[in-house]
Amino acid sequence: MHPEAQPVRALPQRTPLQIQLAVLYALLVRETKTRAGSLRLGYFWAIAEPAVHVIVLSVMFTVLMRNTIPGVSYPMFVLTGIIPFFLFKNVVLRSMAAVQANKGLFNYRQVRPLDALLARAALEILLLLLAAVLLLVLAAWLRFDIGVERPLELVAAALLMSLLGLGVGLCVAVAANLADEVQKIVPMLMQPLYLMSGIFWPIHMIPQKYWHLLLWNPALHGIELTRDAYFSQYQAPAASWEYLGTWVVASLFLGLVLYRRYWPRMVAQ
Amino acid sequence: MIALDRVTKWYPTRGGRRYILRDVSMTLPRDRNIAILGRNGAGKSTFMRLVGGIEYPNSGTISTDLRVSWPMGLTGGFQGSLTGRQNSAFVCRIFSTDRREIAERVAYVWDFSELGEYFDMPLKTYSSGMRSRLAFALSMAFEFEVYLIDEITSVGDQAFREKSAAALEERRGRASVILVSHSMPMLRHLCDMGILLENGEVSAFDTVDEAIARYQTLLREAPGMTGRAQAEPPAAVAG
Repeated sequence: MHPEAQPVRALPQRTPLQIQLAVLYALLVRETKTRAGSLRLGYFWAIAEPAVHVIVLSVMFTVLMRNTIPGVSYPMFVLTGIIPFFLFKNVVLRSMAAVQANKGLFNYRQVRPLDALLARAALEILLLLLAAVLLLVLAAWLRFDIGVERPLELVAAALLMSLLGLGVGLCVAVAANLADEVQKIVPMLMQPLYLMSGIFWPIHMIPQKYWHLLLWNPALHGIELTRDAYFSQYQAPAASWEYLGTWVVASLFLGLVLYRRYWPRMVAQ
Repeated sequence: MIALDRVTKWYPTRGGRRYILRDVSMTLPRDRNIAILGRNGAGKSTFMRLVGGIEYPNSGTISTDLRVSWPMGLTGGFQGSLTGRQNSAFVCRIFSTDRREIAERVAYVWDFSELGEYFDMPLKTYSSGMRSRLAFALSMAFEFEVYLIDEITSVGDQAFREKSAAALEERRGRASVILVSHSMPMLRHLCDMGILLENGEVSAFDTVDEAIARYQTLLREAPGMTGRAQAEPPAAVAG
């Protein structure tokens, strides 16, 4: 017998909170290890993906956009668009997949779909924040100005975009469980959203009379607010904290209502 | 005890609702080992999952003050790209936050499963027998008051089967089991009462033999279904 292998004994009584924390911790460790092993260099890709977007968009549009954003270098402009957008998009898509991918785990009754979703979303947010820091270090090394104008607002914007991802992610995760098509449609919708969220163009390039066609999109607000907080000379005339905040609260509320109604169906086989 | 109060469970099918339980109220006593019988599709596994708290009734409640295991024998909770050790550690972390306790439990699983160096290989390299060994070792690593066992002990080679049977036997001294199996000898050996599921109704029998007799009458009366249940009864009576 292995020296450490003690005979079984009764487990201590635990409070619901202790169980909840144990489950979240177990899932987070598991996700971290799964993510590292799923692809060769799993973490490398998580960080490389936003970098590739910044580089490709910069190469494509730097010349074109040279004079449209005074005081802001274009690669930095793209970087401050990509990170908040990815916070939203990746958290939505990861959350949606989390329930299906972890179905086997719901055989342990302590593990609920929301736990799987939260663990995945948390890991994704951590990886993107790490990516953001590394890309900023790289930018500084390349002599870009990476000074932040209002750091607290920047943190608030990143937080709201993550929570928006979580709220929308929860809604689509429940919906995907009711109708498989959702799993196909949501990633498709992310493509036009990428183009419409102002990742590589500033809203003031668009004539003001067309703004209302774009401003329904909360991701656009989040991205503009990020830049407003980041650059001293960047103005975000159309973006609104209230609008983004309302979306966050509403999506989380709707997601939790749907979850509360349908979670037994999500654990069923 | 485990109390079912007006429990109804159905699945939607093309032909309407298919009832597993229809307004069932009963209590499963703490100190009895219960055999679950029923034809394929009668809902034995669903019944087990309901009792285990991982599936929920459409109406009614199921309550217990006992420590009930997860339905054993499942290998669905494993992640193929993680090693046996990592998969075991995940389950141990759900049940404990104490590092030493977790290390102990994992060591127990390593020891019991006899997987050797495969314990540190990804699950996707395992044969189905090795997966079952891991699953069984994992379920023996924790002390429960009720063990839910769904067709499990027929795994592994002769030596491992004997070892599992012995472990289960030893555990049965302190805990009770609820068992689904198509092996009548095993049901007779491990259980001391029986429950028969049939068209949403549940009948309880004070001895396993009565339950098995009723079950076999049922099979003779309507041998329409396909699958294991149909193929095996005459041979199984012998045990």
